[in-house]
Amino acid sequence: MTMKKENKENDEIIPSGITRKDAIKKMGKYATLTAMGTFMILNPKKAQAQSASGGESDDSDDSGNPPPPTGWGD
Amino acid sequence: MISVEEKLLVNVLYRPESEILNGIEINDINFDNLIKLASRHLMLPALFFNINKKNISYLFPDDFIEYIKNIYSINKARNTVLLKEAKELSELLYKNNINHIFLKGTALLLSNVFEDIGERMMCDIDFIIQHKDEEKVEKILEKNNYFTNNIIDLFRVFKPKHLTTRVNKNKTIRIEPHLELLSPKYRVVFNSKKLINAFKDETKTIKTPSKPFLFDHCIYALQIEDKRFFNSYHSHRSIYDIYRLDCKKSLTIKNIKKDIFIKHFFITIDKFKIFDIHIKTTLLNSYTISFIKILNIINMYILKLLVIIQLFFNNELRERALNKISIHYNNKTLLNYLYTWLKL
Repeated sequence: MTMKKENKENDEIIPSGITRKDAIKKMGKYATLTAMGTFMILNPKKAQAQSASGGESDDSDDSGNPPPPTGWGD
Repeated sequence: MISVEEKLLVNVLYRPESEILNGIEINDINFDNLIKLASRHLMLPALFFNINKKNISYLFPDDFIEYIKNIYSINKARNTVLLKEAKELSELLYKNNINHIFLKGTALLLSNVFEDIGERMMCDIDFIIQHKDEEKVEKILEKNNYFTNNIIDLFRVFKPKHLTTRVNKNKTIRIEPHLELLSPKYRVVFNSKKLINAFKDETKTIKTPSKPFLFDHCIYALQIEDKRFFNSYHSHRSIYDIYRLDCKKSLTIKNIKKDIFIKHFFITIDKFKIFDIHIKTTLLNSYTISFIKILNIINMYILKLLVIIQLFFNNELRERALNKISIHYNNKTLLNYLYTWLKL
């Protein structure tokens, strides 16, 4: 059941015209493992959007991993 | 317990080439986990910089190096833009006779604390102004196309830590004008009075605080504002900042021992053996730390109780709460949560 769902998600065609599976392959497997915080900083538009919606740092996650290092709140 | 990936991260960042594999079997390293760990701590660029500097890329898979090199390059380009925009902002404030001091990551980059500007990941340009200049700065920023989407809070009891963040539509990095260093409830411990002397100096462009100030601000912001004092999690980015600040004066046992927050920071990271400082916890210290943690938990519940009371009187808040509940209901997370809870 889960496998089917994953396959469906991977075959989903995103607006740029390539499948999600292809997009992930192109970015490299490490991109899928990278924490969102890193991409939020490197992609200013997303970071700005986060800021506009009052985005503060999360203090925890469900997996029990330490919270992201907001450090000085920046 | 330190994972083997975290051991490697620490060795790469802080130890010489000859000691990188101390206590580590390279075949045990899961590079996927290393990416997860380093990216969660915003340390991918610093990791690449140190691997490159210490000529140890042969220890890592090619695609791993290729990936973190890309992240480092993008970050370096972004920080170059950030520095340029910080200088432009500083000139604008200087022209309008606004005394301002850069803070946090921006101050670290401007003070040349890092060997390379691509090492540190940063979100925005932080600077502090004097309380008396608040309205003037808002007007100047508005007039010069620094816009905000956030609502300006007109009804407030205390000065906020910072004014609303702003973005200039012709620039890339958002700016955060600070009035204070920490939230109101924490200002007893650390506040902008520490910068009085720096503000007394003549107004000029690109002013940064002293290194001991940056050292204190880094630790207080992490321990108090980001609540690491209460949950004891460490932040590799902050550890790296402290390491790069190389504050010999602040890094004396005598100095560290006299402040519970600074002491807690070093106790939390003692397991990594990065700094040549070994602090022992006394019974009194443990009790003090536990007491402060309990106070924080009580404070947290009081705040939650106040929000619940407000729900009965504040229509806007009630609407927001209902909206959140319906989103969670649609995502079925609430149902899942209830199911897990009931199952237990």
